[in-house]
Amino acid sequence: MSKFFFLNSAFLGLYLVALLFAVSTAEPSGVMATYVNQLSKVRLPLNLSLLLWLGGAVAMKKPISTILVITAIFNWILVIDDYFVVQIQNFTFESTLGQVLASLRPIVAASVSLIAIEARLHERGSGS
Amino acid sequence: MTERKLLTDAELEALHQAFAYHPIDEVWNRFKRHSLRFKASYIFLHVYVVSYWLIHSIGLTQTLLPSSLSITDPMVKQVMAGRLLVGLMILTIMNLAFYLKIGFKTVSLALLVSYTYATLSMSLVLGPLMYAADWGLKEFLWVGVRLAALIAMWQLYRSDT
Repeated sequence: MSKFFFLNSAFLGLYLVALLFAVSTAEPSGVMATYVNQLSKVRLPLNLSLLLWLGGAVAMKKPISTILVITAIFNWILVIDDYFVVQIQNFTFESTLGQVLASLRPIVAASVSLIAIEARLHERGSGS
Repeated sequence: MTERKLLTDAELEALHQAFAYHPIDEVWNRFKRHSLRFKASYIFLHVYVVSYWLIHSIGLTQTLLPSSLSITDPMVKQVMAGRLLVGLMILTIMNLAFYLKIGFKTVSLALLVSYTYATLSMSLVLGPLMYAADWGLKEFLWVGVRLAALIAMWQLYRSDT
């Protein structure tokens, strides 16, 4: 795997930690409360389950590209949901961290996609 | 020099096919050759998403939904419209993928992931309301149709297309 792969992985790890911190310290109200509720009860558990599945596959030395493709698709769907359905660009975030994390959503999806592509090419190259 | 191939021979052939003209009869024959399960799932999903969208666009969604879920909130209407549009877009891309014989599995996976997420996301709001509500034929039918749609998407994902 290339340095780019590890750079993307580090970025995603950092993003996840920041997101967990932001969600645990947030005291939202109004529409933001509904959004954070969705985030903590549906999106984060789904993403964490995928991460757990990925960890299991890595530990058992199984192919990981399919899990990463599913994660990439899921994250792109979340981006579409955020910007075109829920329209978070119109939300007023109560913290700068929340605002930054929201604006990084498409970058996160792109980052997962790049990792998925590299993993698929790597697995194809190694014949697994 | 790396020996990794950017595209496999099958993908290269699929790309070549993508730029070739497929008469609609050939596509129809290909569809007919699939299993009954595939055909039923494919047709059911189209009827489901398109009719849901049409009913939503003429403002009659409430007639389909469980009585406990009132969609007077504009935000709920906007979310429903947005998700139905996403569903229609994925379905259109799925048709294109079937025609071009490329990426059908990925698109059906996208539809499956999208619908599972929408269902879970909505269950969070609807779950407590439905738990407290009286269950009638409409509620059971609504849950049954959603379950059937999920199974249909899974069938398309599992197919060899």
